[in-house]
Amino acid sequence: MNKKGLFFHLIMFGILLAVGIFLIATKSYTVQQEPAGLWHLDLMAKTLQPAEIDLLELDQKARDAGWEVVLLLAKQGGFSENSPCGQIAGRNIWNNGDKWCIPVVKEVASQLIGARIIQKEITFSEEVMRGVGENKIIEVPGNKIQKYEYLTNAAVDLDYSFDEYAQLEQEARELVKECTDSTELDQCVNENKLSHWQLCKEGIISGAAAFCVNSPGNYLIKGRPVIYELGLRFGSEGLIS
Amino acid sequence: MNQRTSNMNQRTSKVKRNLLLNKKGAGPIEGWLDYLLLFVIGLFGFIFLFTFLSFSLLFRSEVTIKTTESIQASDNLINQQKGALAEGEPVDVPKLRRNVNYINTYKQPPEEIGLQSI
Repeated sequence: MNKKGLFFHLIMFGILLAVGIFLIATKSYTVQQEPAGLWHLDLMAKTLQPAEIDLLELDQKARDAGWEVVLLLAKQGGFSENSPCGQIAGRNIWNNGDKWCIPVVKEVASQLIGARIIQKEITFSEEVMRGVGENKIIEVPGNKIQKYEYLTNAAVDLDYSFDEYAQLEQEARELVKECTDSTELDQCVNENKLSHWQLCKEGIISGAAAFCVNSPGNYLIKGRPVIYELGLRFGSEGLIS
Repeated sequence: MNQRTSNMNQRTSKVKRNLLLNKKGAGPIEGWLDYLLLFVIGLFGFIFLFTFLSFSLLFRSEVTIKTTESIQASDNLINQQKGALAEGEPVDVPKLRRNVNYINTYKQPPEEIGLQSI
């Protein structure tokens, strides 16, 4: 081989050697099966989506807890425990003469719901319930760092407003005012109560009446109508001193 | 003596001629074959390299498209369930989690595995 041939041969050999070393060094001598942008796709599948599902689950738990408390409070007349004004046929009485015992229902609901879910500082604005949650972190093990931090605050539409209690309290006060010490209590109550106020099957016992009040806003929880069960005292009989 | 000297000179010049020929290396036909051989090796090398790279890119883009499609499908599934929750319907979260994992793992569009609805 002459000098030119040898030179050309060495150049070609060098190029092929360089290509070979490159392929071996980059381990790309097998056909790539990994998608381009694997880190980004992994970030979507392993952090963002699990976080979204987690938030969905937390929202659902918050909503279910909210609904459970709505029904519980309606059944207990807005009280979390027995009313200090006494009870009639197992129903909490709202008043003891002129004294009214009904609590701030939103606060009671906030405490009860807060005990059931991870969010705290539960507040209500119209039909929306909000809760403050902590930050959560999803960390994916591997060579490349994948860390996703998200807030677990919740804001769910309960499709129900606790403002109904204020309306019911006002209606109850008017009814009590009209019928206090009435000699014909049955008649007075039936004449003055609004259409959504119904006497429960126990009716009137010793100057106090048990009411099963339909939701003025016709709210339904899981397809069931919200019915408030409460008692009102119209006379001085059985007053709690 | 002279005869011997002249014979020796003749032999020496023959050897010298042979040596000169060897120094020049291969003859013209062999040199041409060398170039052709090197050209063929280089050509095959580059054909191999570019075919390899083309296939690599082709497979990668195929896999990328399929992976992206599956992530989009699982995203749609999550959004669908978010919509259901907003409408007040119950959501089966463990089942949603399983379906999303399945789609992302096996890169199957949801219509192929019957996950259009939960």
